[in-house]
Amino acid sequence: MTAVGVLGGSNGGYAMSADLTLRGHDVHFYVRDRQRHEAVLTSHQIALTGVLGSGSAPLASASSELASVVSEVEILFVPLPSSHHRGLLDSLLPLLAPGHVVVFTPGTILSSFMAAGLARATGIGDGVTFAESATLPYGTRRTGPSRVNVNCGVTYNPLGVFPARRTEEVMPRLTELFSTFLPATDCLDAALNNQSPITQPAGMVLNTGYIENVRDFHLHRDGVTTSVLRVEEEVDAERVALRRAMGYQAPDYPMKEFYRPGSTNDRALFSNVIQEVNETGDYEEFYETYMPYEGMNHRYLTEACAEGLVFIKALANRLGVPTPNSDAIIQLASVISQRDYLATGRTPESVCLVGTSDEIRTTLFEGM
Amino acid sequence: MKVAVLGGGPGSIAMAGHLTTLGHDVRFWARNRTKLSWLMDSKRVRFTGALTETVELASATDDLAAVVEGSSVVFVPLPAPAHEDMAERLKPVARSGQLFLTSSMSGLGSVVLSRALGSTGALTAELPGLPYGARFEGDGVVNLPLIADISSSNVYGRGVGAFPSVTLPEVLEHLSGVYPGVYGAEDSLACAFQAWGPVLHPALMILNLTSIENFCFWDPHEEGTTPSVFRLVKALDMEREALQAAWGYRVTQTRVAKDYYEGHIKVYDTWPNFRDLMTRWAWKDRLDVSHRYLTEDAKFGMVLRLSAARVVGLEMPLTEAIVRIGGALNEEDFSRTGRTLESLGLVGDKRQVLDTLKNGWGEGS
Repeated sequence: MTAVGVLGGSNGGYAMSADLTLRGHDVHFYVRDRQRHEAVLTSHQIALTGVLGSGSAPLASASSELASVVSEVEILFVPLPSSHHRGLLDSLLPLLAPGHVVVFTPGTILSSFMAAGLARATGIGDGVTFAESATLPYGTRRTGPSRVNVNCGVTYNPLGVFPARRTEEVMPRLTELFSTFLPATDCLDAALNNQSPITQPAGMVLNTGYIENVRDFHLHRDGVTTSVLRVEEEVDAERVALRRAMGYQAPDYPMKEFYRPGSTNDRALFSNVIQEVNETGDYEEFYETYMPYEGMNHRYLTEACAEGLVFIKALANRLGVPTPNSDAIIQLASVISQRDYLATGRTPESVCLVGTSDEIRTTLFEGM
Repeated sequence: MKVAVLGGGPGSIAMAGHLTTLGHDVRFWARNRTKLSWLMDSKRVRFTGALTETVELASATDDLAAVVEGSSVVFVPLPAPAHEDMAERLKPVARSGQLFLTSSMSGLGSVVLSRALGSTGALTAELPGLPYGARFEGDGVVNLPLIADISSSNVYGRGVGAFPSVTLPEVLEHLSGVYPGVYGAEDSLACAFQAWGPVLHPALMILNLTSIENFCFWDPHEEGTTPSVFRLVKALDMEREALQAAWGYRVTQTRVAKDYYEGHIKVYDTWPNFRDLMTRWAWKDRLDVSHRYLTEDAKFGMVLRLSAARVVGLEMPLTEAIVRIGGALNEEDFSRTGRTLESLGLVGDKRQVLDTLKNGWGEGS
C-alpha cells in the first residue's frame, strides 16, 4: 500500500483516484475548485464503473488545499490537460521537497522537463524527480458529481523519467502503482508516443462542419472514417520520422494500429478503443450531461494542437524533418479556433530545450 | 450564330439548351454516345428550373469535326483534368478565326488550348466559371436552377480572359454575339484568380470529411457550412485577394465573399434555387474524396494559385494546407501533379510571365 497524491479534478483525476483506492492505495485527491467538486470534497467517495470494475472508493482525503495533499505523500500524479500544467506548477513547486516524484499522466509534450526547469529556476534542488507518461491510463468520463466511468484501460504506457539516469531507481515505485508503465528512453521518448496530438487536432479539423452543426460529437465514435485515418496516418508518419531523427526506436505505437479491433500486440497503447467506446456509450452520456458545448475551443485543439502537435512540428523542423501535413492541420486549426497556435503553442524553445538531437538526449539523461 | 458545345455533363447540356432558346444554332458533342444516347437519338432535352421547356438542339453527335466545322464559337465546358486530352482532339479540326473557350474555375484552360491550337490560328480564351448551375434529373431531364448573367460583375468579376490577351478585342467580338455585354479581364491569369470554386469547394470537403463519407444526406453547402467553415473560407478568399494584388491585377470580390460570408448563413441563402436541387442530388451522388471539388478545384485551381504565389514571393499557408490535405486524401502530392504555371510553359519571373500572358510565345513556339 502506497500513499499517493492525485492532483486535478479532471475526468482522469477522478478515475485515477478511484482506481488506485480500490486497488488498496491511500489516495489524497486535490481539486482546485471547491464549488465544482463539492460532492467529493464532502463525501471523500468516488463511485467507479466500467472496465476496471465497479465499486465505491473511499479516498484517504479530498481537499482543495494543495499543501495538505503534497505534505502527505511522495508520489504525485498530475492527470490534467497539459495546458493547465504551468498554472499548477506555480502553486506546486514551492511546496515540493527532496524525495517527491511528480508524474504527469500525460505530460504531452515535455511537461516533466518544463517543470524541472522551473524548479531549478526557483531554487529547488535536484532532489525532486519529474516524469511523464505517454497517455492517461484510461479512456474515461465523469458520469455524475462523484461518479466516473472507465471505458477503456491502457495496455502499454511508456513512461519517461527526468533525468533519465534515475529511471531504474524510480520505475519500480511507479510500476507498483501501474503495471502498464513501461520504461522509455527518456521523457521525450515517452511523450512522442502519445497519439493525442495526431488523432485529436486532425479529428476536430476534418469534422468542423459536423461538430458545429450537430454539437454532440464524439471523436472516436463519430469522427473517424477511412479518409480521416489516411490524413492521421500522414501526420503520424511525421511524428515517427521525428522519433527516428531523435534516435528513438520502435515501438512507435503507429496510428494505423490505434483503431484496429482486438489489437493486443505491442503496437497499440489502447486495445479496442472503438469497440469499448461504442459498447459502453458513456461518452455520449457525458457529453449531454456534464460538458458544455465548447465548439472549436475544445481541448482537442487547445491542448493537443497547442501543446502537442506544434511541439512535434517545431522540433522536427529544427532537426531537418519536414512536416507538411502537421503544418496543414495546425494552419487550419488556427483559423477554425481563432488562435495562433504557431505563435502561442509549446515549442522546444518555450521549454528551454536546445541543441542537436544528441545534445538533447544527453540533457534528458543527465539532467540540467 | 453557329456555336458548338463540347462535353457530356449537365452544365454543357444546360449551355446548349439555353443558347438554343436564345436563337443560336447549337451543335452539341459528347465523346460517349452510349452514355447520352437519349440526347444523341432525339436531340431533345427537357429542362426544369430556370428553363421550363423541352429544347431541340440543332445537332447532338459524337462527331467532333462535324460540330466544330463552321462554328464561330466552340465552348469547352469540361473539367480541368480533361483539358489536355480535349485540346489534342481539337487540334486537327480547329480553324483560323474560330474561338475556343474553356470555363473551368481552376483557370488557364485557355493556355492549354492555345498550346495545342495556337498554330491553327484559332482564338483561345476562358470564362471564370460556367454561367449555369445544373444537374441531371434523369435521362432526358436536366434541372437548371441557375443561369448567371455573364455581363454582371456580381458573378463574373472582371470577365473573360483571352490568351494571349492581345487578342481580347477579337475574342469579345466573337463572344458578344452569344453573350451580349460580356467584357474582359486583364489576361487569362487575372480571369483565373477571379473564380471562387477553388476558394470554397475544397474547404467544404475537408472540414466535413467524416460526414461526407458517413451520410448519404450530408450536404457540405448546407449542414456543413458553419461559422468556423465560413471563417476558413473567408481567410482563403483573403489569400486569393492578396494574390490578385501581388500580381498587380484589380482585386475583385468573389460572389462567395460578397454574399456568402457577409451576413448569410448558408450557400443556399445566396442561391435559394439550389437548395431544392442539391437536396435531391445528394440522394443520388454521394460525395467522396475523388470528387472534382478536390481533384479539380484543389489539384488544378489551388495549385495554380500557389505556383503563381511563389513567383511573386507571396505565402498562402491556408491554401497550401488545403492542397496538402486534399492530396493526402487522394494519396497524391497535388503540388507535384496539379496544374502550375510552369507545367503550362509560363516560366520566368513575374514580368516574363505577364509578357507571355499578353503576347503568347510568339510565332513558331
